[in-house]
Parts: sequence; C-alpha cells; structure tokens
Amino acid sequence: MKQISILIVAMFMAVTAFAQEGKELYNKYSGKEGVSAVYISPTMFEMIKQIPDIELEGESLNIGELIKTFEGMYILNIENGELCSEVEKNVEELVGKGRYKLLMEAMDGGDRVHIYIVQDGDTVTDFLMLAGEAAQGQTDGTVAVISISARMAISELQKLLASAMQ
Amino acid sequence: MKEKDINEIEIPNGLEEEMSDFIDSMDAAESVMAEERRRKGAVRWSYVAGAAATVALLVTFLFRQPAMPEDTFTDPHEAYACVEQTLAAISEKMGNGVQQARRAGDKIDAGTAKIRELYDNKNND
Repeated sequence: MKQISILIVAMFMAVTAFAQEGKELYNKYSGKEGVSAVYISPTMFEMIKQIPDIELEGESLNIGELIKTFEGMYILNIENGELCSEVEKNVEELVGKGRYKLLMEAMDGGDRVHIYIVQDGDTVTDFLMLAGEAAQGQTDGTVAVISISARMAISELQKLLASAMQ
Repeated sequence: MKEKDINEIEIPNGLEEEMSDFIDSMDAAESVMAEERRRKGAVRWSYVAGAAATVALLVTFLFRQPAMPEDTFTDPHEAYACVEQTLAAISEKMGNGVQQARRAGDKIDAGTAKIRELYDNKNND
C-alpha cells in the first residue's frame, strides 16, 4: 500500500513537472529588468488554428500546418549579462535531467546555439532552443530561450530543417 | 441443595490446579486476542495516515505549481505573426548550424583528398 502510494505520487509529480519546465523558466525571468517575454497559450493556439492558411509561392514549408501542431510557446529574450549566464545554467540543469536530447549544437565565435527536443515515438512533444550571442566590444551578450510544446511529427521538423538548409 | 450437602461433595484431587491453569490459559488467550485487535486497529490507522499524507503531498505539490502566465497577445493574428517570426528565427539559427556543418564537411573532404593524393603518388612511385 505504502509503495503504491509513493509510486502514484512520484508518477504524478514527474508528469506534472515535465509540463512545467518552460513555464517555470518563463515565470522566473519574465518581468525582470532586461528581459522581454512572450507567452502564447494553448487557448490562443486553438484560435490561431481557425485562421485560414496563407500559402506563399515558392515556400516548401507550410508554416500553417506546422503551427497547428503547437500547443504552447514561451519566449525569453535576455539582455542582462548576469541573468544570461543564470538562464544558460538553468537550461543546462533542465537538459541534465535527461529527458531532452540534443538535436543540434553550433558554436561560431561567441555565438552558440543549442537545440533540444523531446520525442515520443515519431512525435516531437517539446522543442527547446537556447541561443546566445556575444555582444561586440562588451562583456554582456544576449540569450534567447524558445520553448515550444507541440504534437509535431518528426517529418515536420525535418521540413523546417530542410527549409533552413536552402 | 443445602450448604451442608455442598460441603460434602468430594472434590477430585488436582481439580483446583486444573481450574487455575484453565483460567490462566483463558486469560492468556484473551490477552493475545486483545493484542491482535489492537494491532489490527493500528494497521488500519497506518493506512489512514498514509492516505492522508499522500493527499497532503499532492495538495502541496498542486499549490506549489507556478501560476499560469498571461497571454502576451489578445489577437490571434498578432500571435500568428509572432510564431511565424519565431519560426523564421529558429530556421535561421538552424541554417547557421547547417552551414557550419557544411564548412566542416568541406574541410574534411579537402583533407581526405590530400591524403588520397599522397597515397596515390606513393603507389605510382
């Protein structure tokens, strides 16, 4: 009985905690000096889905279809040196928990990009991008964190990657 | 039956001891049963305490959840435009990564070609 209770509580906490990662980061840093934040809720995404698709000629990627798979989005843009390193550390800790896997890492001078995803079979359920830019002639840089919750087929992400390669 | 008659009844030898032992054993059985009842009650209380602790943990955890942030946009068209821009930014960052991978690939190809050239020259000599 005791073991079952512990198991149920642990499972509940784990499931809920996973859903809170982007939100916790957002709540922690939004509103602070030098931080601009954007949140788009699942409800807003439901409303976005009602907007008719705009197909652009020559575009291989149908953004509308991709956006329809999104369930929530958190964006943080940090221009505060102290907070930048703190956020990067927070993201490292989050990734260190083992749920996210690295999709791409690129370093170019002081600029760095890390893209992580969480996969459930052929579906990407979470997308996390950490992009840091070194400021020219300054010690402070900027850091952007984009966290997207989605039910995106891996093929859609491949299309996004293919469009990036063009 | 008169008191006199009762006193005249012959009591078998050892009956008193047997009766005493019987009463002692009944007493012991009673103690065992009482202990069992107490233990069962305690187990039930431990279940209740466990369940209460579980509920308390869940409630604490739920209240610990960060508050739901407010939507930045009220107009879905504006939100759509923002998502589009974000995807463009993601695509650009991915593109930079791919370019770096291509440059690295080109360098590796150039290195491999040089090694192959040296190997071929050596074989031809």
